[in-house]
Order: sequence, then structure tokens, then C-alpha cells
Amino acid sequence: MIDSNELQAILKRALSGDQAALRSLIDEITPVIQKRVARALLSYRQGPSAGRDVHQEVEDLSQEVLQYLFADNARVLRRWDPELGLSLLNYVGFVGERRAMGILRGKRSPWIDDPTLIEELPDQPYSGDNPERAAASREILRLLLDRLKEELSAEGWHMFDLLLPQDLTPEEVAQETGKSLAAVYQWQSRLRKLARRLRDELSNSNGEPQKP
Amino acid sequence: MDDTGLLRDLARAAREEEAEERDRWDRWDRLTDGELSPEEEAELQELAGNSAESHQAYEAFRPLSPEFRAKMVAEIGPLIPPSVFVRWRDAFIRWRDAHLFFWRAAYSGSGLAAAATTLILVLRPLAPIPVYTLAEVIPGVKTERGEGAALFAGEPFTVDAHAEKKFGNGKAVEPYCFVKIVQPVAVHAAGCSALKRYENGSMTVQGRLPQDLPAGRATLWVVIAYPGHQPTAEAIEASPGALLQKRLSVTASKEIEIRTP
Repeated sequence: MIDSNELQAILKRALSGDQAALRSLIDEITPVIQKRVARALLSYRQGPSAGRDVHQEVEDLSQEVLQYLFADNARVLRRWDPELGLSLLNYVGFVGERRAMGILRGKRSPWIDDPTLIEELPDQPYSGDNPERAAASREILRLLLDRLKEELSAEGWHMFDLLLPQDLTPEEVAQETGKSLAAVYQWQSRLRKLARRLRDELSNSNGEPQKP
Repeated sequence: MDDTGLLRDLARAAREEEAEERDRWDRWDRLTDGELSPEEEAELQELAGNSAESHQAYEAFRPLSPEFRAKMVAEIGPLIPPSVFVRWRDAFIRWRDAHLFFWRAAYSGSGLAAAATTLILVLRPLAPIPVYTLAEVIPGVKTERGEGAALFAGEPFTVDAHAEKKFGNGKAVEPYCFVKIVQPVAVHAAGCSALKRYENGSMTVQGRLPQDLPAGRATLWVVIAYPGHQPTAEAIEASPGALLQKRLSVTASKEIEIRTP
């Protein structure tokens, strides 16, 4: 496996039109995209599409993701900035997963497929005291996480990951990402507002059909 | 729930989800990465044979073919215009190859030969391809899979193609694969691409045998050629020998035994 510096050099050459480098880049990023696409597909695969050839479907989705990354002179791929602390493969994986989820969700929306989930939106933090309630809460939080991932940029998701699941202090995040402390606090506030908005949207939808 | 509680729960859910995803997909991820041992892969195949869910996972995660990657390169390449630097660099490489070839010809032959060579080079400024030899053809997508195992129709294979002389233009050529059935003679094109390229022009070729091959003795032909200069299946079918050596394409072959599942 090639290291991140080498991969960065390959990306640079590929984006300047070097065909050999493009071939190497595709070889490196295709498995990452395939894994994310496969996970998304198996998580969302239901209904009429369940009868289709899975391998073909993964190939089609991977192709869509690659085309998306390289469209308009590789506009999306050029947005990757190594300074933000997210590796190129993680960035590609994130974009691939989100793109695949978007396409799959276009066919089927989990927000409207199970309205009971929305009715059970918790107003208290979930705990393990009531297993059924905890499971429902967990499911809703997963939906919220999915929505968060859809709303956030790759950078935003990276900031969420550092500040919340990894529980780093703003100072540590500033050091990790090279951002100013003020910028990190701004992200913290932005994430809080976004989480609240998404939760409210979920609460207010009441399971009524939404436009696709 | 207040914002702090919501964020705390979201963080916890994200951590749980990540851990679950890691546990759930680890082996499947390694299937895509070609990192499973033959035993582990056989285990997954058995699992896939026993449950519909595992079968779907196996199909979703088994690596996309080299043909898919080659198709994507062909599709995406034109979307990225070459920079001025790349255009000049490619022009320089073509000039350098032509220049070297000219001086070699001039050095070893008459002035007339050199003039003739120059004319040829102006028309076809590609460096000639050296002889390539093939190592053992092995089943699977990685060379670690172990040699000597059976090759099945429709299954992937890997083979190292060694350039006998250093070939600086190795990145400009592509492998093309064919399977020649011995009795009765028939040639089938097999999709393949370069999995890895080495500085001296050698490469590891990965491909997939065609589905409709009969069991029995055959030869795998790997053509290393500049795109557009590869021989046709008919030329290979008509060739009595095991090596077709031309300036812009070279073919090496290896005997294989095809089995059917």
C-alpha cells in the first residue's frame, strides 16, 4: 500500500492530466469507494431493487461516485485539502458514501418508511434502563447521524468526529487541524445548531409523506 | 432534551456505530482489499453459499474487475485536460525516445539507415518493446494466493510479466490477454490490466478468465502493446509459436490447465 505523501503526489500528477498517474489513482481509490458503496447498498437495499444483481449495482454506484469526483475537471476531488487533517482516502470514502446514500435514498427514504420511529423521538437522553426505548432511541439517533452526514461537508464531518466521538478539546482540535481556536468554537456552535435543527425537522415531520 | 444532551448522545451513537460497522464489515472490507488468506476467502465463500444475506455481502464486496478500472480510466481521462507541463513533458519523452533510437541506429548502421530510421521515427516515434516473459499464472487477485492451484473458468488470475531489458516506456503500454484452447484450437479474449508496474517496465497483470472456457489444456497469452497496436485474436489463433515479437507489441504465453467448477 502506498503512503499518503506518495498518494498526494499521484493525485497532483493525475489532476494535471498525467494518464499513468490517473490509472494509479483509480487503482487506489476504487476499493475505498467500493467498500463504502457496498456498505450503503446493503444497509438500504430493500423493495424492488433487492432482486437486482448486487455486484452490478455496486459497480454502477461506484461508477457514479467516480464520475462525480472527476466531473467538471475533477471539481469535487480538487476540493480536498490535506491541511484539514482528513486523509485523501477518507475524503474519497466520505464523498463516496454520501453520494451513494443520496442516490439510494432517492429511491427510498427511511424518514418516511417508518413513521413510528419519528413518533418515538426521545425527549430525554437514552439510557439502558428500558431496552425497547433505548433501541428506538438508538435507531433515531442513527437517522440523525445519517442526516448530519448528508448535511455536513467532508470538513464538517471531520470536525464533528474530532469534537464529539473522539471528544478532543477545542485546543486539541485546533492543533490537529491547524485552525484557529475561534474557528473551532465556531464549528462547535455550528454543529450544535445543525443537530438541533435536524432533530426539530425530524420531530415536526410527524411521518407525513415528504417530497422525494 | 437539551443541546448538550443531544450532542452527547449523538457522539455516543457515532462511536457505537463506528465500532459495530468495523466488526460487521471487517472481513468483507478485507475481501475488497484482496487481503484475505485463501482459507479465509474459502470460509466466506462457504458462508455465502449458506445464507442469502452473506451471498449478497460476498457479491457486494468481491473486488471490482480490472476491466472496470480500465473503463473508468478511459472514461475519466478525457475529463481532465493535460496541463502545459504534462504536454511538454510527453512531447519531450517522445523526442527523447526518438533521439535515442536514432543515435543507436546511426551508431550501428550506415548514414542511409539512420536517415531511413529518422523517417520511421517521425512517423512512429514510440520506443520498441523488449521481450517479456511470464512467470507462473496463479489463480486469485494477489500473488500471495499461492502457486500451483487450479485455474477455473470465470475466475481471476494474476501473472507477472518480466521485461527482459529495461523499458523506460513501460507506463505507455498496456497488457491484453487471450486464452488459446489447444484442442480444438480457439482463442478467447480475457479482460486484464496492469495491477502493478515496475520501474524496469515489468508489470503484474491481473485479469479474469472467460466464463465459457472448456476444461483442459490451454495457453494464456499476454500481449504487451501500445494501445491500438495489439494483435487480434485471429493473429494469435494463426500463430504457431508461443511468441509474437513486433516493434510495438510483444506477446508471451504460458501453459495453463483450465478446470470447471
